Amino acid sequence: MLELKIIAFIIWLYTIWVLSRTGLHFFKFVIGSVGLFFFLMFWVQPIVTEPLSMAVTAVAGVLGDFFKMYDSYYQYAILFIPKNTTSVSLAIDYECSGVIEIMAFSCMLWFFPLYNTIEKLIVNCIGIAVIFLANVLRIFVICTLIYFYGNEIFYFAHTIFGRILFYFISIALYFYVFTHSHVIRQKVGSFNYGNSDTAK
Amino acid sequence: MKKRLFKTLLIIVCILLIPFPAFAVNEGYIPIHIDGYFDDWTDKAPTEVYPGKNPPPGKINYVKLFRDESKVYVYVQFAYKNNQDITNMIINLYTNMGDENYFLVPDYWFDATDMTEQDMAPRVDSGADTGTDSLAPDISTEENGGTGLSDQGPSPEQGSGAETAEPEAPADQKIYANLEQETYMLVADNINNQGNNAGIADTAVTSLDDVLDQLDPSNPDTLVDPEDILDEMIPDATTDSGTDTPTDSGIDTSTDPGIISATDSGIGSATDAEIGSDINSSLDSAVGQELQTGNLDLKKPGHYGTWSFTVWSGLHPVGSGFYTREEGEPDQMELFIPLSSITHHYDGITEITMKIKKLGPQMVMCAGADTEPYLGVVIGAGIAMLSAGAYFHKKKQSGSNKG
Repeated sequence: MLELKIIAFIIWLYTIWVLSRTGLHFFKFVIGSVGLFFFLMFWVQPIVTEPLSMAVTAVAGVLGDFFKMYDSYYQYAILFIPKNTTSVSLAIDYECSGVIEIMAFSCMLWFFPLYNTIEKLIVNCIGIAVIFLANVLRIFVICTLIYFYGNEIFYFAHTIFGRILFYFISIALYFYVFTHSHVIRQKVGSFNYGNSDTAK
Repeated sequence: MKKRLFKTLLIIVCILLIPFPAFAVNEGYIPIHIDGYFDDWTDKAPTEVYPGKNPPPGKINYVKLFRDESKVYVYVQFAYKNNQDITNMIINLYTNMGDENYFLVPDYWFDATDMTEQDMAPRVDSGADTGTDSLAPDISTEENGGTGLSDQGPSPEQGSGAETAEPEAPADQKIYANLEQETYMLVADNINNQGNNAGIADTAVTSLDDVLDQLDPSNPDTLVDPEDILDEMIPDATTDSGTDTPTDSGIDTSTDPGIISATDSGIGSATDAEIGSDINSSLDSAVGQELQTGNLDLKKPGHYGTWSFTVWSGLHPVGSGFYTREEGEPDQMELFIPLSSITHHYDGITEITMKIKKLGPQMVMCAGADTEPYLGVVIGAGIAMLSAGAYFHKKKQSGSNKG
C-alpha cells in the first residue's frame, strides 16, 4: 500500500510539472490542490488529528471554565456538560477537530496563483488560526445551548446551528483569501469613457 | 517602516502558532484501566443518578461515562445508603447506529471470561508456573469430596436451583444444556486454558470434544432459561471470604483488587488424572461448587472485597469489570463495553446515551460534534476554484488584449 502511495505521489508530481510546463495553470491548481489534500490525509492527518483535537478541547475548555458552564478533559478530547436530567460528554474526534478543513484550505492556498511564497505562509497561518477559532466558537455555542436548554436541543445545536456558524466563518475566510484578494489585485487595464477627440 | 514591522510581527506570531497544537499533548496521558482500581476516574466529572425526585445526598449514585475509539467505559459510585448491587442491573446503550442492552454477571471464578483486555490480567502471577495457586475455583477431588470428578454427578451438598429443576438429568446437561454452544465453548476453553497453565490440559481437550458431542442445544426438552443459570452464578455464600481472607498463595484480597473470588485451592493442585478423567464432571463441579460456596454475596452485611464480573449482551460475554465494597465507603464499580458489540461498523457511532434504570432515570450522553467537514470543503473548494478560474480567465483576456 505504501508503495502504491509513493508511486501515486511521483505520478502526481510529474503531472504538476507537465501542467506547469504547458501553461495549464487552472488544471495545475485543481490537480495540485486535490492531490496534495489526499497525500496530506494519508500521511499528515493521522499525526496531526490527536493534538489538534486536544488543542480544540483545551481552548474550548478555557471558555467553559470562564463561564462555568462545562469542563474540559483535553487529555481525552472530551467536554463534559453537566445537567440535571442528562449529562452530555462531547467527544472531539477527527471530524470535529477541523483538521480536514485546515488541510483543504492549505492545499488550495499553496496552489493558488495569487500570492508569493511569504504571503502564502502568512495567509496560511492566519487561515489555520481562523478555522481553529471558528471551530472553538462552534463548540462553545453547542455547549452553551446544551447547558441552557438540555440535551433536547443537541441535534439543533450541533447539526444546524453549529455547522451554519462554522460554515459562515469558513466561507468568509475563503471569500476573503481567494475571491476578494483576487478582485483587488486583478489588473483590469486602462479604460476611458469613449473617444475624447470625437467629443470635440 | 510600519508595514515592515507589522509583517515581521505577523511572521513571528505565525511561527509561534505552528507548534501550538503540540502544546496540548499531555505527556502524562493515561487511558482508563479497568483493573479494580478507581483512581483513574477521580478527575472525571460525575452525573448524579437517583430514583425519584430530590433525593437526600446519601441516596445519590454518581455515574461516569467515557468512550474511546472502540470501547465505552462506565464507572458507578453507588449511593451511601446502598441497597443496590449489580444483580439484575441492566445497562441500556442507545447510539446512532443501534441500541443494545447489557446485564452484569459476577464471575464464578476470576478471569473466567476475560477475553481481551491486557490490563484486566490480575496484578499477580497466577498458575502453577509461578508457584502460586490459580485463582480458578477448585476442581480437585479433595475439595468436592471425591464426587466431582466421578460420573455420578454432584453430591447433595452441591445441589443448585438448576439441578433441582430436572433432578434426573445428567449434571452437565442440567447446567449447560441451554447455553449456546459458543458460551459453553468459552467456559470449557477457559478450563482448558487453566489446565494449560498448570501443564495438564492435553487429556482434558480430548474429553471436552466428547462433552460437546453430547450437548444438544436443539433439544427443547432440556431447555432451562439461560438467565436463570446466570442468576445462579450469584450464589449464596456459605464460606467466609472477604477482605481478611488470605488465599493459599498468600495474597490478601483486601489489598489487591485484581484478586476476586479466590478459593482455598486452585487448579494447580489438580493432577492430570483428575482433570483428564472426566471433564464433564470437572466443569460441573467447578461451577456447581462455586454456585454454592462462591464468596460473592453483596446482600450480606459486612461482606467486603472486590469482585470481577462479566458484561453480557444476550448470551454473549462482551466486556468485564470490577465491583468493590469497602467498609464505610460507597460501593464502586467500573466496566468496559466494546462498541463492536453494538455494530461492526462502530466507527460511525457518534452519539451514545446510557441509562441504568436500576439506579435512576437520568441518562448520560456521550456525543461527537463533527463539522460535516466534507461539505464544508466542497463549498470552500467551489469558492476557490471559481476565483482561480476567474483569475486565469482575466489574465488570459488581458494577455490577448496586449497581444
